Amino acid sequence: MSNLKTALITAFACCAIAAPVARAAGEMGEANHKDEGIRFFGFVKDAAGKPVVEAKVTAQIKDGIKYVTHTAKNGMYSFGGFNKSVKPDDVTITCDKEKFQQAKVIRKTPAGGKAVKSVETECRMQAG
Amino acid sequence: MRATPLRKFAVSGALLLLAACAGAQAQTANLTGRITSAAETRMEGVLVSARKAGSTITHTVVSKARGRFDFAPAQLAAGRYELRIRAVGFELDGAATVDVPAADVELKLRKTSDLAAQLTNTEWFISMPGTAEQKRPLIECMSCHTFERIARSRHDAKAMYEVLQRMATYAINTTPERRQKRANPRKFDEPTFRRLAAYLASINLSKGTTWSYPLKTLPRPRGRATRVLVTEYDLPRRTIAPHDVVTDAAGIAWYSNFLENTLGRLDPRTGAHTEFTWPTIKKGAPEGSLAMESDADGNWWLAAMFQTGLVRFNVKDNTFKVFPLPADLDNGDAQQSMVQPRQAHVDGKVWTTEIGRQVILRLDIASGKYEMIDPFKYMPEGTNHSPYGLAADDRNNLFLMDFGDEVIARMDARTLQTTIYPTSAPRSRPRRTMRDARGRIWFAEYAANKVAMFDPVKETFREWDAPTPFTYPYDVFLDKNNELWAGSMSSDRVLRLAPATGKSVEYLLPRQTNVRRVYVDDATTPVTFWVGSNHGASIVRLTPLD
Repeated sequence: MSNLKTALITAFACCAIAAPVARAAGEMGEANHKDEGIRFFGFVKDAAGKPVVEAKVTAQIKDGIKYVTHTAKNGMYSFGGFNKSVKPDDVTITCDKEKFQQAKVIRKTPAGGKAVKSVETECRMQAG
Repeated sequence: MRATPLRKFAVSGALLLLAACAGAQAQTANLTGRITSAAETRMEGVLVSARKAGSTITHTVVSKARGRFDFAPAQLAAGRYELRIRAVGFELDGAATVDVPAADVELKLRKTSDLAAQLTNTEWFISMPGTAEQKRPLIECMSCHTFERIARSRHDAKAMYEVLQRMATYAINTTPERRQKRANPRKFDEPTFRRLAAYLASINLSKGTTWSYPLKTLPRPRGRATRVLVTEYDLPRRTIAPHDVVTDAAGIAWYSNFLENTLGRLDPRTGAHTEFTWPTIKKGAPEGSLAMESDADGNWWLAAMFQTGLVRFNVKDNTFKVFPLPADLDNGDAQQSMVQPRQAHVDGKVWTTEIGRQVILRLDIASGKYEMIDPFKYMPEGTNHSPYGLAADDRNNLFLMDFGDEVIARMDARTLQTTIYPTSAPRSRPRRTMRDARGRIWFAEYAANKVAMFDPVKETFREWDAPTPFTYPYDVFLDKNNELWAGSMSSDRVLRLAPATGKSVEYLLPRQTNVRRVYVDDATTPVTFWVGSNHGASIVRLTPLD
């Protein structure tokens, strides 16, 4: 091995490694969900209680930021989690699907309270 | 990976050059031949590159099924050419020069004695033992250097940890040709670095003189993947690191330089190269720009990275105007990676990213003032978010990729309200993006090894796997034929995929090519694909021949 090659190998030009730090500087880095606040998950169902697949589910936070996802084959949705500044009552869940209308959203987890880590909702839709 | 080097005008008796028809007409000036080796009598998928003596332009074709190559698409001028090849596992059996025109030239190959020097990062990924989670942090390393450096190193875990600590002091716009220090070292998680150091010390040469695992290679191009012409334009300094390459209406290629404060211009017809130097904004900070985008007037905008702020180049009078960050935003971590001015004529606003704070900035061109919007303010603490690729719709609403995580977002230009869309693939780390004529958002899911499309009307995603594992696509471009092109820092391959059918072809590039932005010139027939070789100081044009 040449001296030049040895020097280059030893030097390592750069290896900017993922640094999982909270909102840290730098464009590199992996997500590391280690300090989450409230999470939202649940199901979208039709009037007969069957899952509605690929329904759009929106989590609207008070100041206007929205999260949008779609239900899976079992009608389930989930959002990855918000930080601790978001309280359960700050978030409104709605669902939408072509040829359906949202009938009601049932919040299965009691709103508020320090112990609440996740909120489950059931969004009921009816054809029409 | 290194291509087989040829010494200038060196002639080796070991190489048999049979120029049976060397006296052909000068105006035709073609070069044809065949590839043979002791192992394979007719070698398909060997890249043959020819560069005229004294020229900066290299033409590459690929041998077909019977091992024959034909430079007719390159329209070579008569003269003496240096030849090199790329075929993993092989090298030229001696150096080669040939006087063109020449026909039926036989190029003999021999097995290489240094396979490791030819591996792409993707092939190292495939070869190295370990879990996906152990290998995952390595996707950061290839921004600055190849895995060959790591694999050949002799550091034990302790020494490797010290190396990783040192890496955290470098700016991301660092290459082996130019190392640039950050003002503030990047914070890192010690247990993460310790684990990574131990893993790297297990796959390098710290415990022996050769690797404990077999070196695996990807197959050579076949069939459709051989029908291609690649033209490389060498740039005059190794420290020119072309990041974004885009052609203008006249077919001139412009590029941003990741390592220096210059904007480059290349005339592909002649190879003529011009540089324009933009002013130093922050003395002592790492130099260079990343994203380069044009506005509606054809002026080029540069994201000035650690120099900070935005830079506009007026193509009419070749002058620069700098839009500096205000002092309260301009700390040691401030970094503008992306810029999106394409719809600035709508409202006079230009979008950019502030990586240090992980927020979006919007410049008002008339006043020079920036406003800051935080699309990630409700994301969990302890998560990384990094606004990256930007696209704008006809109303200058913004679509942004979150390279740190697994979402894309839409920001309303009028209200600045943000809608966040988690990608279908988890931990996808969306990177660069483009908006097509139908308003769809195409983007690379870097860490998921996928390319993807977001439909803003239906608010849904579609994804396609990159056909080669560990490709890690950096960027995508949908051409006028509705074919999707992608490139990466890992595989030295250009992906061309038909989303409608899922069929794809991958073109191998002639040299180690760290690809960033990809661009397709739709004004040509066939379309032409452009990238910069970020570590190789060249501009690369790929012309499909089908």
